[in-house]
Amino acid sequence: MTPERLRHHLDEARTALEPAWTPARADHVRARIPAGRRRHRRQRVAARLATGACLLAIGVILGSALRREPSAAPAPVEIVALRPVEPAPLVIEARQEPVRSKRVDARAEVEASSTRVLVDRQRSSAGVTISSDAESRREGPADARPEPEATPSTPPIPSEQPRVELSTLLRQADEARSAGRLVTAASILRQVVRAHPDDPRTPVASISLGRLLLEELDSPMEAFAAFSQARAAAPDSALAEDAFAREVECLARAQDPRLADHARAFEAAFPQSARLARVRHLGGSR
Amino acid sequence: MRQRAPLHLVPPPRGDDRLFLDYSPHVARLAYRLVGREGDVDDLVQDVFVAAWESMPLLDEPRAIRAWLSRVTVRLAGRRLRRRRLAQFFGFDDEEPLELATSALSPESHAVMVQLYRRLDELPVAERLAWTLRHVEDESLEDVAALCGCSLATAKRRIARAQKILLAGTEIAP
Repeated sequence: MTPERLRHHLDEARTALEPAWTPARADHVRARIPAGRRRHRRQRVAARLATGACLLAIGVILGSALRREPSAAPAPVEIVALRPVEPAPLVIEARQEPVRSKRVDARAEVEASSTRVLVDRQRSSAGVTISSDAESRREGPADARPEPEATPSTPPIPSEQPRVELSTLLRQADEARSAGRLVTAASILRQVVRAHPDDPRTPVASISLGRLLLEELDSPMEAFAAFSQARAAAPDSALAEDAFAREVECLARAQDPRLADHARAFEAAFPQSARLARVRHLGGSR
Repeated sequence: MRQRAPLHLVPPPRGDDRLFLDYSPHVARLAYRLVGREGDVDDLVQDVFVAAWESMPLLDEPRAIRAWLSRVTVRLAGRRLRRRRLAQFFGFDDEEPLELATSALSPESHAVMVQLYRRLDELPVAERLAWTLRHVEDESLEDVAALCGCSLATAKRRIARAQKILLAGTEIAP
């Protein structure tokens, strides 16, 4: 349809597009208007009530949330200036003799005026290093830091600590012997033999203890017992020949009457041993 | 073409009853042409005058009461058409789109009007209102924009789009 044709029809129909708006109909609609106004007013009041209820609910929620907050103002934070504290020199005497003591966590807290200084004693070659609290804060909480390996200047006495590992005891015994602390070394080795009888390293420790007692501490009979224990612990190993020969040497040093019999027993057990000539010499037989 | 008085030259109302008596025919005609149904006219007129009496004290220019009532009528008619569109979508509205009040039309014009309002029901409400105001109510483009509450360019675009669809879909067999 063209626009002109449509316009023609619209012009013709415009007079027909009128509602039958009679006075009676108008009066009818007019009479309905107050009811419409009341309905409109009710709708408006309901909308305002709904808005008020929403605002009240929001207020209640906010009020309850605010009541959960602490009413009292937080206490002001007191900032205390940290003053460096000169660490007091700590002197630790190195003891040569074994001392029965318990290993303690070497940590002490030193209160210096308002500054709190945490002193960690760590073993070093000189004996002691001191770290301040500030340093410990930089590194994190003191409890969270890994504990420095506490190795006291004097070797610990293993007789009271069966939980100490065998390798640690053996290393400490070697260190003590190298440092000339022979009694301490012997004590550690005795602890090893007593606390770890089933360990495969124990016969070696027994031989070391016997040699220490025989050659350094002039205790041939105790050395004899150590060698005997080593041979009993490993009768089929190469250590048994060495331990047996040193038993003969211990008996010779102690001038024990069992010397000849022990020498013959060695000869019977190890007829091809390289130590046989030495054992025969000590036993008095040719 | 019928000459219309400018909107702002309408005299001010002299009371609620007088306002209704003076302007209800205009509101009823405009509502009928916008929605195309006789049954919706009464409700629309009632709603328009309820809104008028609620908001009349806020009206600064009493001389512009006719234009103001027309804007209210267009707005409420649009709301009713959208509600009707929703009812049609759910299958609740099965009335005829146009109920002509008179049979003074030629059969061809009657068929064109029925077919035209059926096509208007398929248009978007905003485009339907703009086109009806422009070509059925014979308002100027500026008044169409003012009554629809849009810019002049938007009113022109809506009218042109509706015109194109209506011309393509309204064909009368010779």
